[in-house]
Amino acid sequence: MPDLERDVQDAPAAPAGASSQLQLDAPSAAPVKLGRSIVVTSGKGGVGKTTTTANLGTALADAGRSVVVVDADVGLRNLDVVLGLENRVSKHLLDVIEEKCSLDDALVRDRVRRNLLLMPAAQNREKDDVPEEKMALLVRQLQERFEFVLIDCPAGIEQGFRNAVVGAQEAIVVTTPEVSAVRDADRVIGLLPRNIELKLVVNRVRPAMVKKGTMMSVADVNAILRLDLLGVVPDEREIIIATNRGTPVIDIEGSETGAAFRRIARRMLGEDVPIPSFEDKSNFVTRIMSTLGLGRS
Amino acid sequence: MPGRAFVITSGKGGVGKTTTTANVGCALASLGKQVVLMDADIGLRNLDLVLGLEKRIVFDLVDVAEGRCQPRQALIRDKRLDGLYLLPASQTKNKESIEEDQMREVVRLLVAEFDVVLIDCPAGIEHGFRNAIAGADEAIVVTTPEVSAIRDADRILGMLGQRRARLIVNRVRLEMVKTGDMLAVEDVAEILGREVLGVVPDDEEIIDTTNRGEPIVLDASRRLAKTYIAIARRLIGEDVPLPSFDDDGFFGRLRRLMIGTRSHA
Amino acid sequence: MQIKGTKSGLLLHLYDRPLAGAVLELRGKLDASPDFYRGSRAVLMLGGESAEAPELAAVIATLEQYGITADGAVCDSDSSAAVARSAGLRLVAASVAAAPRKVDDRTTPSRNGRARRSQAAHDQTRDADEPVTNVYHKGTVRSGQSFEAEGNLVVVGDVNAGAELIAGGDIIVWGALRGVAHAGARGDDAASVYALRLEATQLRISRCIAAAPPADKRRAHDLLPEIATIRDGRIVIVRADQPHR
Repeated sequence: MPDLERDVQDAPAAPAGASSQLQLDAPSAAPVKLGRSIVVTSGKGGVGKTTTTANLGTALADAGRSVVVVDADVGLRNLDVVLGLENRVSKHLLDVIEEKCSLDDALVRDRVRRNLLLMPAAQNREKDDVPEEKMALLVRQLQERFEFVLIDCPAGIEQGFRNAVVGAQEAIVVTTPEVSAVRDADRVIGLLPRNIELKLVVNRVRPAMVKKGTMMSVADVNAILRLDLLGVVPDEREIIIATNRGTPVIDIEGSETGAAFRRIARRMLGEDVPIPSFEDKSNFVTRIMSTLGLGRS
Repeated sequence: MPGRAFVITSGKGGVGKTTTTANVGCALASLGKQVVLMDADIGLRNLDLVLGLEKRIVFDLVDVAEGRCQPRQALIRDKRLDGLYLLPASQTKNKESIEEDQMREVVRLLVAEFDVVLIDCPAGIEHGFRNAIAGADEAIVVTTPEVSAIRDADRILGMLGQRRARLIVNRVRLEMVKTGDMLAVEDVAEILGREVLGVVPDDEEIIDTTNRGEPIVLDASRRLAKTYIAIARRLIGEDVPLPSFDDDGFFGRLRRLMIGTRSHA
Repeated sequence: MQIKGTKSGLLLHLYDRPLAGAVLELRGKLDASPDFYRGSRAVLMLGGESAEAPELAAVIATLEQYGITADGAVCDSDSSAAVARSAGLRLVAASVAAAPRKVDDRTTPSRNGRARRSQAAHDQTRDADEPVTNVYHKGTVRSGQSFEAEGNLVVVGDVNAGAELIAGGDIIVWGALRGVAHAGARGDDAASVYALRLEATQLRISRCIAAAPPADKRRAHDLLPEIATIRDGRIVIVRADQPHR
């Protein structure tokens, strides 16, 4: 009988349920090579799902891929605004599902990138109107035409969430380094089907605050969520400006946030891009504070 | 005389509903009111975290609705402030676990015993939202000066029926308003056509306080504490002028908007 | 007055005063099917205002006549607690009285009887013909998820805040326990909670409940495996390498 041997290496924290490789091809037995269907979800609202979907879609398109971004937020659509396409929306997802128009009638082409299209959400209907199987079918149809189908998930865990998830084979869970957001992300992870591949994006990181100890670090976040980290996106005022103008932040010169999204897109395409640790941006923060005369009073 | 029930809603997630509920609630209690904060975000509860009361949760809203306990047993008394109570949501259930008439009944029981009930509404316009507004007499719509948030707030306003709805404009960055990179509060109010209850400047200190479960209002020396107290005072009917951001024209226009609002259906 | 059935027995809501009326009402309700609750335990929810001792004694005696043993009280004030104690009732926390809050077992009162006998004996042996299932789970238990076991519950993985574990027996977490764990949920005071990292929001053992202490200043690598048990009627946490019986 052999002696018991103790292995003294540090065991890496194994993320529960997620594999370590990002597959390039979607698992498919169909004769047609299907694109990848990825839902961008979070649980908590306002952590950057729509911004992430828009920017990753744009970055993937810039890398030469055919991309469709799907707004699954029936009733509260915003993906069109973030992409600056709200004036071009006429038909939408529900019209296609109800066979009132064809897929092509509803798809809106981006003004700049010809290989980036938007499937808009309906504004005036409610999420209970969309049956899950039909949504899954629509996503499948899109996968037959596009290399990437990115689905922008609404906040919450109700029917809207379920509809957004039903067609997805992969999921990007977006969170900010805040207790409430991490808690909600954890909840959502527990509700995602077990066969979906999960990745984590930590958004709105403020390195100065992490340094001061007034913000969770990415390591703190992932000690709870235990997912494969896809990327870390820093917080910047540029995001607000970009969103309001309908320009993706990756198009803003010198934006760290934009650069982070570009790196994430490259990782999604299989490139091994290391995640940088961000430099202290305290100058920016203190500048704002002094302009406003804020700070501790 | 029964209390008033307000729903704190927004449409868009992440604009500050829960933080607003917690801080306005604390502010009201500090002004001597008996207040219940009710978390209607079943399955994604956060109000307990923001208040730092998570570890004392025993019963929750669903238990009350299903009669497993009396409302008072589910209420958690905040030990830091007299008159402040939390009715937490359930985390292990979902929003289909409760119906609108059950919500109305719970709120009815609460307004009989308390001055103010603040209902923290979930994001979106689905079942959870409908539940949250069911028991409310009035609404406080929280928005940020961003296109997406305003759009969603506008949608929400259309779903509030005849309820009085006032705005709280959150995360205002004055320097960005000045450079034209952010909408001014008056613009937001004009687009949405509602009275402004309060303007809350962006302040990174709020992140830490919500993470630690210590509402910023509890520290009277903080700038945001004063902001929320002013909001609370307006809520109970006091005439507290909105802050003037150094521009008389701005203040004047806002004041006019507050007093003589165009009412939208 | 309401009578509610839970997995741990009956809950009687007795908020109206005077309690004298409650006895009549109680009789009325129980007479509808006198043997339905025979063998059950009951916890009395007394609220804040103190009952008169003779009135409380009358309620307890009435319950006895129907084969129901009142052995606990939930009190919102010290005065009502004092009255309850002198009537021989044990003070329980509200949640524990009602937990696990899943199945209403009013339809199986005879099982209550068997459980009551084994608890009264305070021994660990279960009736030979009553098999209990243990549950074993591998992986992180996420916020909002809930696992239940009739017997013991083992999780190999973390239990995140917002998650809930409920077991009739012991709970063992081979990972960080950050959520809520309720061991001995059927009234087994000898049950324990074991965790590699005991950072629970709240712990419940049998009828005892305890909240997490204020933010612990210990650094991560100082946290050692710990065990939570009941000692002298309250939950205590001891390091796993120290004697805990």
